[in-house]
Amino acid sequence: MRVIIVGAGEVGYQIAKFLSLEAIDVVVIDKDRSKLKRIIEEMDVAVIEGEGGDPSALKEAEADRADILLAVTDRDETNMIACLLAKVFNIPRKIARIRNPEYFKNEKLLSKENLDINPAINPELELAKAIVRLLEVPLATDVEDFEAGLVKVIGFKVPEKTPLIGKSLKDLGASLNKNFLIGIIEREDRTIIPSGKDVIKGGDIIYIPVKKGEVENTVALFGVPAKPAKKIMLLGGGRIGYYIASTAELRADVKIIEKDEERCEFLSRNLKKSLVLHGDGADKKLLIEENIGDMDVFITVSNNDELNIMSSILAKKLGVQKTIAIVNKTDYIPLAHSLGLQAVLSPRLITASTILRYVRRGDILSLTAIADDKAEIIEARIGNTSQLIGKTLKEAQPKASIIGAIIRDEEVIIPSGSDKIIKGDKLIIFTLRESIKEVEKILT
Amino acid sequence: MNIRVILNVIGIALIFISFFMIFPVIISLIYKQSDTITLAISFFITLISGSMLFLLTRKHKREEIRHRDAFIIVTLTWIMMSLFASIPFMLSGTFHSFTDAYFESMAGFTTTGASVLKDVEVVPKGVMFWRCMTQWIGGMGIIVFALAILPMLGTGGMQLFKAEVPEVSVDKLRPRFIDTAKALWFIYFTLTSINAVLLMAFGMDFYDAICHAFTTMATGGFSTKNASIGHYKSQSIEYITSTFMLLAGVNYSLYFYVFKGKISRLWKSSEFKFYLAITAIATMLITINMWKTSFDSFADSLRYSLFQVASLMTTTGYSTTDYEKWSPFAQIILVLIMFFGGMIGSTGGGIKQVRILLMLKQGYREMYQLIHPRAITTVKLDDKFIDREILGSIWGFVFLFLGVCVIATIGMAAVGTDIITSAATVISATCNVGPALGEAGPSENYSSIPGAGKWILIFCMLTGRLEVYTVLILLIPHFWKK
Repeated sequence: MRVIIVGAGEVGYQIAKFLSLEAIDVVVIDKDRSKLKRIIEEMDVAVIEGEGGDPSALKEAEADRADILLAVTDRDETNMIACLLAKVFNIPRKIARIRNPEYFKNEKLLSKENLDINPAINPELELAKAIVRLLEVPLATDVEDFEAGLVKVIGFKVPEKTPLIGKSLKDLGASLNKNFLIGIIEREDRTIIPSGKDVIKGGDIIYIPVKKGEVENTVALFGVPAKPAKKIMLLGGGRIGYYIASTAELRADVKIIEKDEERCEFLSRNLKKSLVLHGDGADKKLLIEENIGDMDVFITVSNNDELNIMSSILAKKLGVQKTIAIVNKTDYIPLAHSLGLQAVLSPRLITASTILRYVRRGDILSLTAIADDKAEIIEARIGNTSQLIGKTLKEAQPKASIIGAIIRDEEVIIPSGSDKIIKGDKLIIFTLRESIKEVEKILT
Repeated sequence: MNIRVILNVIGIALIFISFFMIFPVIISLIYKQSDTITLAISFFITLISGSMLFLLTRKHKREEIRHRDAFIIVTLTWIMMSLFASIPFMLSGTFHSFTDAYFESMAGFTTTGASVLKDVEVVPKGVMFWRCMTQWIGGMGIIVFALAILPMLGTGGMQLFKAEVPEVSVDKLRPRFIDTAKALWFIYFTLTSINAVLLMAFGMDFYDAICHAFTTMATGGFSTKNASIGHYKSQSIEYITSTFMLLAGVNYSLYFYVFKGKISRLWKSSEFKFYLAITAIATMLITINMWKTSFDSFADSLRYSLFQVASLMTTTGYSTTDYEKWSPFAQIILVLIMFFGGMIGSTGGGIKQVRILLMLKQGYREMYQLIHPRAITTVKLDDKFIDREILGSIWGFVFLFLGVCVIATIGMAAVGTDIITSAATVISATCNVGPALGEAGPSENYSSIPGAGKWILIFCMLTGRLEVYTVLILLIPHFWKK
């Protein structure tokens, strides 16, 4: 498989790094020599110096043999032109980063007849979506949707005091008297694909597949409060803040702090219920006055990393239950974790992983990285010729992985070892990064 | 520094060359030579040592190879490969001292072709085959090696490649390194085969043809005959060899495009044109200089001049005649073109054509700048502008290259060789050529050089082959500071 990446910024870098480890031919095009140098020194890919909208650069990249073009420069127009050119070279799939809502919402522009971009990825919107998902289970560290939310995978920290600690998974299943499984356990530095004999410990981060509508019950088993966030305070009213507020305000009380007065005007005009506050996020007085200690969640989405981190710490001191912060600089993320911030999201990493979900061939529908990229959730369709058809999970389960859910028509099955796989099933598989290839082999 | 990773890679390298050691064993069996057992023992020693090293250090953490590690790995690999490659030379009794055996082995892997053997024709066929094969392995050295080890190292492999080929690097022909290496290897193998077939068609026997094809394509220069290619006294063999030496000096990525039908790429490459021009100019100067003085006919003068220019410029080092008897003018040109070497990305040594070309362009620009002080100018190569950083690194390279030559020459004089021999052997070794002037001229060999002198030359060969920076960087104290 050959993938052409236009744009060697952080998003392009992350994608190239991931793909090059998967024995995929990767060609990166950018006009900035120093960015290309960084890439060529660190990974096994080809680079071409040139504009993404320049046919000769694409020709040099042998675009006629490419399977996918990813246009991820920070300029929408360049990305669109690259995709348009890709159409000339007959590249089957074109994925582009498109920021501007004017373009993004223009379905005609992106349609098959015109630019033929499938899909267009809007970084701000993806980030907002990820944050909104987190709001459903406020204490979760990670929430991923599959099949439009039919199945969710929830990652959360097991509290130190819950009756389930110390029991093996086998006993757990028996005592709960319902089908339930754990896909991945993250314990200190280790990432474990659990078997029946494994025991849950306090402080583990576990990832479990859950049917839509059963989230609260399931999480409650672990003594984790599962009420969706009702009181939200947002710092930063840019595009991301606006997207979050406009979705969240339908179910919760939202307060949004923005320091630019004009932007505040815009927000108050366009948001229905949210309270728009004009002020500085690091202003302790303002936070106290607006009852920060009473809030379920404090979300910082300004474009200033330092402000986001500092005011999250401040809010924690003032008693907020949970903080969600976006941090652009990838190097800050582990730091922010060690300062006690629970959910730290990076717009670029989210964009990269969203795009990577679609860089798949055949029956693998998506691939989602979890647990600091050490593990993956694979969503795959069982084709007509699959060798798995008719087998029970016990027989079919690939090594070092767990089939966490089966989606059959519109129904979701959280399976046990005796369930059989039939044609047309979609599987949600948990696996470790290094075992992806083996799983792919079994699926084809 | 990650000693385990370093030892691990060296283990792989030894396993890798041990497999090549099977071929001389087979040759020795076919020709019923006396050296079968010693070659087989060498094979086992290398294989077992390599495997032990590999297995004992296997459990290194999956850390990336850092810049520093890469330099040590590359240098140590060459040192260790040469060490193990010298085992057959020692065991078979072809050489009596370790210094001689190691010198020969290093001259092999670095494709230098300097020999300490007084009489090569008495060497058993198996050992001789191995001697020629070390050059062939060394010629495509890092590429073949990288092909074998890169998949095991993941991303860090790029650092190794960089350590070997700095600045103006070889084009990456394919997005993935392993595919590039395969393509290069395929070209190398094909050209070698064609060369061997042609040599056989014009009268060489199978064994000699293979050996010579090995050392021609590697721009090595080891021969199975005392009189080198001159032994055959055949005009066709000389022209075939001249052609293939020049072919071996061409950037291999150009072949890649030629194989794909893009022949126009050749004429777009200014380095290629420069390389041909230098060959033509040097050949014509010597031809005309020697016509009527050393050779009666123009055709003869051309034949010997072309061969010697091709041989010394591409840093192969065959000879068809004793060029020490030629005029001083011819000799000085021959020494000068040794520095030019092959094109970048070829198997040839020397400073490399593209660096000389870029220095000329840069020199011209500096003068232009003096005439038009406010002009903004750039140096371009094939319509691509070259960063000042790269130009600076080329100047640094050439300075260090010549610096090594100067210091080593002083060292050679200190151990007691005469001036001509000192300078010529050092230049020849650093440029990976082989024959020099004086005591180590084309009709003599390196056996009369004192032991300490041989070690100086061993250092020169290694430094020249690894493009200077890689080896010299290990000598600066900063490198070893944590």
